[in-house]
Amino acid sequence: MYFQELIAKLNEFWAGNGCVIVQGYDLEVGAGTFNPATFLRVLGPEPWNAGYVEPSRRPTDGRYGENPNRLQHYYQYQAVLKPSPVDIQDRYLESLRYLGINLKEHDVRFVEDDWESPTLGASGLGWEVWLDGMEITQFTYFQQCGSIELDPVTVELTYGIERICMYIQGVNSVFDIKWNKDVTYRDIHFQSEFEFSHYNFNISNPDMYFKLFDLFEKECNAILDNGTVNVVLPAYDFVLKCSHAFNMLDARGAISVTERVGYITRVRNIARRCAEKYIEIRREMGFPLLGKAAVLK
Amino acid sequence: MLKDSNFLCEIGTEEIPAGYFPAAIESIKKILRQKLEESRIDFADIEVYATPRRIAFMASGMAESQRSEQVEVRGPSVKAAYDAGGQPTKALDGFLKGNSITMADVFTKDSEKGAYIYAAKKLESGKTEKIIPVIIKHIIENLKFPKQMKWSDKKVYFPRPISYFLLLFNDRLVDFEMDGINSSDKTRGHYIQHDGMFEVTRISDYEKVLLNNGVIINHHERKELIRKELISAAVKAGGVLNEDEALLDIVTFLVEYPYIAVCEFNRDFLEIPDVVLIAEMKEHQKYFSVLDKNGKLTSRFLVTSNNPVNDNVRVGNVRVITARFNDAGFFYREDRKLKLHERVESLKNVMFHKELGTIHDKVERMGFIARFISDRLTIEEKEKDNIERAVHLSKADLNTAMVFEFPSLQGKIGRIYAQLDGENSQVSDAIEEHYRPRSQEDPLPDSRVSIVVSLAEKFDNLFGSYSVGNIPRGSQDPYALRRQAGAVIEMLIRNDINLNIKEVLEHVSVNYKNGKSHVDNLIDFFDARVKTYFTECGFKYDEIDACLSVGNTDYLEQFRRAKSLNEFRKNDKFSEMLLGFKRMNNIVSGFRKENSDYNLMFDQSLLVEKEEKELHAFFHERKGKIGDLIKTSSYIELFKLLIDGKNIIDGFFDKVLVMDSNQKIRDNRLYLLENILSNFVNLLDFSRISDK
Repeated sequence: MYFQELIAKLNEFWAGNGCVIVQGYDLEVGAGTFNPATFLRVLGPEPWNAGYVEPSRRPTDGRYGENPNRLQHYYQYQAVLKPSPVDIQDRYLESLRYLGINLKEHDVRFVEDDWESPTLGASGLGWEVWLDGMEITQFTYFQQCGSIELDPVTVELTYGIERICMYIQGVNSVFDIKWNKDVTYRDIHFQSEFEFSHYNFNISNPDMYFKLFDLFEKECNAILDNGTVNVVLPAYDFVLKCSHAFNMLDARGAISVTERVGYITRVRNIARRCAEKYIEIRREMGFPLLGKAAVLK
Repeated sequence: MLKDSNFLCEIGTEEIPAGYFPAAIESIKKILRQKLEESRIDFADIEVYATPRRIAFMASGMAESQRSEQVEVRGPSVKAAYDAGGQPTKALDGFLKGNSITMADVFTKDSEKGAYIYAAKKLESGKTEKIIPVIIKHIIENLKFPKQMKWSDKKVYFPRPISYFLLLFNDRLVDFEMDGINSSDKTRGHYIQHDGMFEVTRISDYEKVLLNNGVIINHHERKELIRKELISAAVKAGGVLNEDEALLDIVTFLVEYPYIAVCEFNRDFLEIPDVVLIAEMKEHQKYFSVLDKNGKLTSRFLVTSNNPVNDNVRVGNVRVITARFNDAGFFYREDRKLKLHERVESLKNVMFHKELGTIHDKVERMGFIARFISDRLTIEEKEKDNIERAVHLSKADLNTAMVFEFPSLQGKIGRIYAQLDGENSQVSDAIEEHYRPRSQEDPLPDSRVSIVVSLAEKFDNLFGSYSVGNIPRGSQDPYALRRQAGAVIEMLIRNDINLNIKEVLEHVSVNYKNGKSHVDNLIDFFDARVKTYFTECGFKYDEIDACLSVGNTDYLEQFRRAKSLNEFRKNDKFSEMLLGFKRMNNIVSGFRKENSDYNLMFDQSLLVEKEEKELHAFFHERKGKIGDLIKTSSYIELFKLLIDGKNIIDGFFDKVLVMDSNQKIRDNRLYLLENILSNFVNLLDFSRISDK
């Protein structure tokens, strides 16, 4: 199965389970959780079922294209379902079968792994799913997001699609994954891994990112406080921009251990403000998705 | 399976974290027992079994219905029950309604607090079947887990979602519903190998139904099966199992049925230190390792799988560990580019605590403490140098990639890297051992160098914590200060180290904010730990008090006294003699309370009675000897010496009145007693000795 087929299969499967198939966000994010299709949609009472691929950036994980398993840019396949279906674990296992994995021939395991994102004020309980000892999915019941307790609860399934594909294709390096018949992951991403690793670790300008962080944070607050129109989505974009600026500074080692906590708190504060504003606006709109989302079979 | 069970409840769940089970199982037993007793339902025995995906509890000999009982319930006081006109008040009405009784059922009775309304009430014998759902709900709502969650749109909290209930009593289904989850007479098989819901027609079949469908419900059986298979798999792999009971407990609750896979990693990885490889396998992947005859790690490892083993399972797990070892190898080679001592400088960039500075600052403080202690002990110069070196390197591994990956290896990595750097073994051992004891079970350091470094580390932690207000309160002791103070005391006592803690604390106080002001509190904290330790040693509280209240913080000395005292106390003659000393002490201190500066005079010629002459002579002759024995901590010898004085002291009190009307004689006798007691003033506080 080619990489692009794997994505198509997951889209197909979750579409069949009532999910809307949306797209990765058009800003730098560290994970699919940051996409408004997760971070904001999990808030409030409205049902929401979605699936998408999220191109994700982790500047500190860059290895100049030399490590077979670590990348500063990779893909997550994210499925979020609210409220979490009572048979979601079975549905998830079904999705693996749908990818052609015969579960009876493997050792599948749900191993405790509680998840927390201090920057987003988000946390949940769940597992990392192991396939023959390899972590292939992060499976989380969201309990809190934007520092707000969630009710109903959303389940978030984050597939590590490179890993699953390596497994299915039987290759030992992510760069050897066949994207399609002729083109490999290396053809598409080796150059970017090499270049961005250099940029993230050696070339980027920390002074600029420090300034940007301050500017982005200011803009986010200014949007929320504008006093004329009640808007949240543009403000949330600046949460993402702050978070990325922080990650870039982190990759340069420009933030000391003591300062770190301060920066994380600043992002969490604006994330919390956005979460509160989002719920407020949706309430004013009468929570339009209530009773409207596709019914899961 | 519990014999003759007639009650069975299985809570089917998604995978609950392995570490939650031991406490949860005990907790269910306790709550179930308590609820059954409270509900007046007789039973013979109860049992709880669990796998990661289910918790089953059962009872045998459970009665069909509740025991009926006649009880008296108390209502309002007579005063409150009737108004001025003698009519029942709201309070009385409420009592009647609440107990579903009428005025005909109540009577008045006097109690300690006055006259009250009572009612005789028969507690009805309800059907057990009706009570069971209440009990199940109570158990689910009251079980304590480290973390709980909500799921879907439900309100109930549990560590992971509940999928179903199997609930049987006398082989009949009991209806139960909680937040939309219903009971049935079915259990789920192993969800990969034998998926489906399977009927349990008889409780006695339960274990068999599960076994036929890929699940061993009894976790004790599962654990022993895993142990047996691991041991034999290790032998087949040509080695011996690296046994690890804690890991075995975890894997027992990671599988519903165990299958052991023998795998092998590339031998080239064996260049990486064993502890690193073992930590990778154990902590991340829950693998058991296999050792050779000499205890060296081999390239074989054992996977406990929840599914039958085939090449997929083996190849997959080898691939995972290979990737992990590749990372570890990379970290190891990176780490080895610098010697440990070359990392010390970089500790200036690692924060220890915002008010206590960096780790580098901490190491400097430890050095200061260690030097002071070394100077007080009889230690060779060579050892002093090693202590200095070990302190200097003690935290240098914190900046290695390996400790960053495995925080639990701090100290262990330091020791290995120090060995590779060519540091001597006293130094490298101390780098690891100074953290001991890391847990209640962990042994104490036993070499002199390790002990001094460990003392320095603990004194700094204790003083540092006190100076920034992190003081243990009640059951809260997040920095394990009690364990550390306890370890200091034990190290000193077990290794015969005389060290005056007060002196140490006063000397090192210069390095902490308002240092002097914390010394007394820290001594109280140590004294409290000493009391606990002495109590555990079997010493009696008055013996401990008598030793500690002289205010000496050389705990080894205190220990020797308390121990000798405790041993000699078994001798009745000695015990009685101690009371004689206590009597002397009471008389003198009673006098001194009123006359603290009074100058007592002594004149041997004023000794009148034979008994007081004997008393004087006894202690006068032995004065030098007593002083020597105390100085050399020869308490047993001392007590042996004193015991002969028992009859003399008794004789004195029988025949002699200290507070004589003649002031000169009185003063002479008081002087005599005070002088005798002065021999022991720093040894024991006789006033603390209990009469019984």
